Amino acid sequence: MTLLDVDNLTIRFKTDEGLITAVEDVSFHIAPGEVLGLVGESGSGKSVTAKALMQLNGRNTVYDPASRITLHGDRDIDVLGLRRERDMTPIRGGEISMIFQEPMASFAPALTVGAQMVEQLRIHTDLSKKAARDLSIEMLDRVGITEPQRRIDQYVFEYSGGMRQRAMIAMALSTRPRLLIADEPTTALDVTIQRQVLDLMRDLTAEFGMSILFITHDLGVIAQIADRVAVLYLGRIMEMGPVRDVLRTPAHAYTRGLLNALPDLDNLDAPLTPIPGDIPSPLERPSGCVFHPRNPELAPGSRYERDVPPLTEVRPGHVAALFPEDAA
Amino acid sequence: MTPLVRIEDLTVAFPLGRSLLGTPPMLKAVKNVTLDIPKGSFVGLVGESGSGKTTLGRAILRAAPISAGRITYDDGTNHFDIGQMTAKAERAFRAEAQLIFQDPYAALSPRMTVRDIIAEPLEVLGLTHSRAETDARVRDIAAKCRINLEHLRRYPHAFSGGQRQRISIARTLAAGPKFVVADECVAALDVSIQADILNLLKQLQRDLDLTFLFISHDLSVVAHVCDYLAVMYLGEIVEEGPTRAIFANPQHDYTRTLLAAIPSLDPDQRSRVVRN
Amino acid sequence: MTEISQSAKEAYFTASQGQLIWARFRKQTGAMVAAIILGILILMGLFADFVAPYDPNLAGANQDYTNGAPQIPRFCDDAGCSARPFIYGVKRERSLATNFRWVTTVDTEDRRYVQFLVRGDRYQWFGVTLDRHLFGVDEGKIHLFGTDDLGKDIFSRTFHAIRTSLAVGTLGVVISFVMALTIGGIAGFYGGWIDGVLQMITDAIRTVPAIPLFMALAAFIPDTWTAEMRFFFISIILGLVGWPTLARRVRTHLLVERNQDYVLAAKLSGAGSGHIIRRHLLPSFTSYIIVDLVISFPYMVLSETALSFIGLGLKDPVTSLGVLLQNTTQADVLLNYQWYFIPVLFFVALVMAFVFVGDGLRDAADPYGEHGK
Repeated sequence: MTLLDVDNLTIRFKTDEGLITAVEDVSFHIAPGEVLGLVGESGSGKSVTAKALMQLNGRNTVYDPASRITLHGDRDIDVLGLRRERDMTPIRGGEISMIFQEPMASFAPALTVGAQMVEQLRIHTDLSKKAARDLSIEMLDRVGITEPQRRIDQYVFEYSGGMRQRAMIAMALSTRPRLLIADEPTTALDVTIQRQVLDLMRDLTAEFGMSILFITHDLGVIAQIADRVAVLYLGRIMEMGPVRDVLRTPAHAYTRGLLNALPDLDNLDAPLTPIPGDIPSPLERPSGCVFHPRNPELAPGSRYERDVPPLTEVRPGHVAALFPEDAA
Repeated sequence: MTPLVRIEDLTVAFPLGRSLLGTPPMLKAVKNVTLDIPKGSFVGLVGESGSGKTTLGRAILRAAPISAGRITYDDGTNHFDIGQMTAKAERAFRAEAQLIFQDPYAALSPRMTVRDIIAEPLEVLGLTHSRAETDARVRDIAAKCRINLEHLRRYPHAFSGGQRQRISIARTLAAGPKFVVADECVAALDVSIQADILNLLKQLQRDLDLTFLFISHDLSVVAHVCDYLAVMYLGEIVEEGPTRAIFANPQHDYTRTLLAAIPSLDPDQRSRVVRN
Repeated sequence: MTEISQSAKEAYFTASQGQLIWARFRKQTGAMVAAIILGILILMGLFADFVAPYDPNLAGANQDYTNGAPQIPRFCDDAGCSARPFIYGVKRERSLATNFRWVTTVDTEDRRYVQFLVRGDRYQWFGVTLDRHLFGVDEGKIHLFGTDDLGKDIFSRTFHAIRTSLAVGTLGVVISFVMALTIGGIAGFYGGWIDGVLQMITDAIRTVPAIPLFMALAAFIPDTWTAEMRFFFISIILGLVGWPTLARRVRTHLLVERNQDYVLAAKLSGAGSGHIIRRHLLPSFTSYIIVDLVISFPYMVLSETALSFIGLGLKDPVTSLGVLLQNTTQADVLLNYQWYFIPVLFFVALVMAFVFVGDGLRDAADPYGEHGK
């Protein structure tokens, strides 16, 4: 039984220049205790997808009527069907928690860290103020912040970058969410801190039994933390499957391009091969397979220019946006 | 042969807050750093936040104050002592040494066309004498940076991050400098574009005979483009040497930690750099 | 899904900031309607001499029709319809039957046809002497908004009042703008102790309450000054009181902008302060300044109205809304001559139009604010 099902998610935005498609026909599922990585560059729609799970996108968002996000549990909740703000409250911070790239932006600067953590607990649980404070101190300790009894009464600007991110993780996990959405949580961190935070998240997933939707552009991070990965480009899934399969034997040209563009540290003489071209502006969305203009492996006039390829199974559990004849 | 840029025992200190009595406590962003940058080289300056690498780069360009020590620039014909320059010398120096910024969104004025942005250094330094001459030089450098010439009349909001960075590079190179400080100039770009910009920088180095100081926190990026590396930690250079030597055999503990922290693309391996 | 055409995309890519703001402004119907109304009112104010049939002061007064009700032109009456609009003539008579009081009666037999582009009272318009008016009647006078107790045509006075108020507002806004730009600009650009000192001065002036300050300054105007001198003095006072708020906005904006990367890039290219101010800093807040100017306009107009209403501002023969309203406080007027208040409607429209246009401009210039998107 899956924890979360996303089916045919299509998200568009109303802008001055017209209706822009950010996410198109994205479907995936997350099992309990699983880490699903969402990989993409700018314009891939990964953040928009994640925010849709908690309806955090702006008021100019248009969800396609066929889109469905279902959170399974004692009751199945149709997330996109929830219209009122207070119906969303148990989900936001309760069932699903989110941590962001910039911790300074998620902690209020004028409240102590403890005040915010306690507030979150009081909204989502029945704990008394004292019990909530004790739990918060325990969580700060669990994420590796030294002297938690002292730190809990400090303000977020008194924390270092890595500590802030840990505090955010502590706050997000204190309500025992079943799903944690991590939107580029380590991108702004130094690489040595990133290593520690990733190790922490891995340990906590095992201990708490929760799932993570981990969004990043860094394939190395995905390799270290994710069980399965979905590769997004311009709002469509290009490839999805177990992380070993996708990274070792990528089926789609875009995934291959991403892997090839990374510097190879074993061979410092090898040239760097970028993916040709540029990410098109949202106003100029390509027809057919959205990646086709930049795909160096395609012959001109191929079917990918006109028709949208379906997600074809390449291997058990591993799909790619290819026409069946190419998925052999 | 004298290096192009020589940094001798440089210290850059900033006051922490204000103090009514006496001098306020100072934060030493750069402590007693000595480094030589040979002409034609591509030197990498690596470190995490707080290492002082950005401050060092800016100090060379006189965008940060020199508290102690000396920086000299000598390309054979011109000789500048960065710490003590007359206004006239500074103007001449600006034509020789330039900076590429990290954030392609903040580095371009949103109210100027691409052509005007690239032309600005030429006009400010008075290096061209007619609009036609300016236009010709703008088109020349834009073509070298692989900017579509039809895009010259567009405004920055029309472009993606990678394209903006190319415009930023074109602006940096318009006045024909010989020394370029690239401050995290690919950090804000997508991975597939990073490779493109790095290739462009290498090619420009060959075509225009440039010397680069490449500042980055990302070791995997510097690995491919830089021939010499200096690793900084808390304001000091803890290790320096040819890139391959550092990757093959890091001496300092911090360098080892830094290399070990790079996540491996192989899920069964923790770190990308496996050493025996 | 709407398809976006190629030319539209190219237009977006080559649009300057100003053009983008204009395009966003045009999408807001409220603001566009307000802008059209504002445009019409300003034009009518500029051409007040032409639009108004008579001189607004005593020279154009109609002694035969004091406190007269508005005369609405009509096309048809019992005697038939006509293509040209007409009004009825009035007769004023006094006799024993009326207790020797002047009584005005409307003579429905006497049709006076409205004519357009008539010759009438002479006026000076930017140095040129003209005498054409937009409309008039073949005989006698027409008073679309009625007359006041001295027979002055309220319609004419309304439009001259609009012009005067706009003129006072413009002058006040220009003065406050120049001062704000200079002081705020210096404070923001140099920072440091200069900024500290200028901020103290700005705040000190800001804390002085406006209305009592107006009253104090205005009460000192000697009666011997001509109306024009009064006019300038009032405008200057308004400008001097209004600059601190704008100066603070300018200073804050500059402090932020001068630390931007692209300013540093210009400095590293060898640009001097003058170049940076001209090419980077000034254009960066032009849109904010325009919005502020438009929004401060109605405050100037209303301040002048308040001053004149209590007798400390402009006086006859200069016409402004405050002057027009000076006579409206009598019970007689409130009960019987309600048409004295027609100018108020125009001013409400003028102020609201400014406010809507200013809001629209602000939303267009800053689409990431909390309003709407």
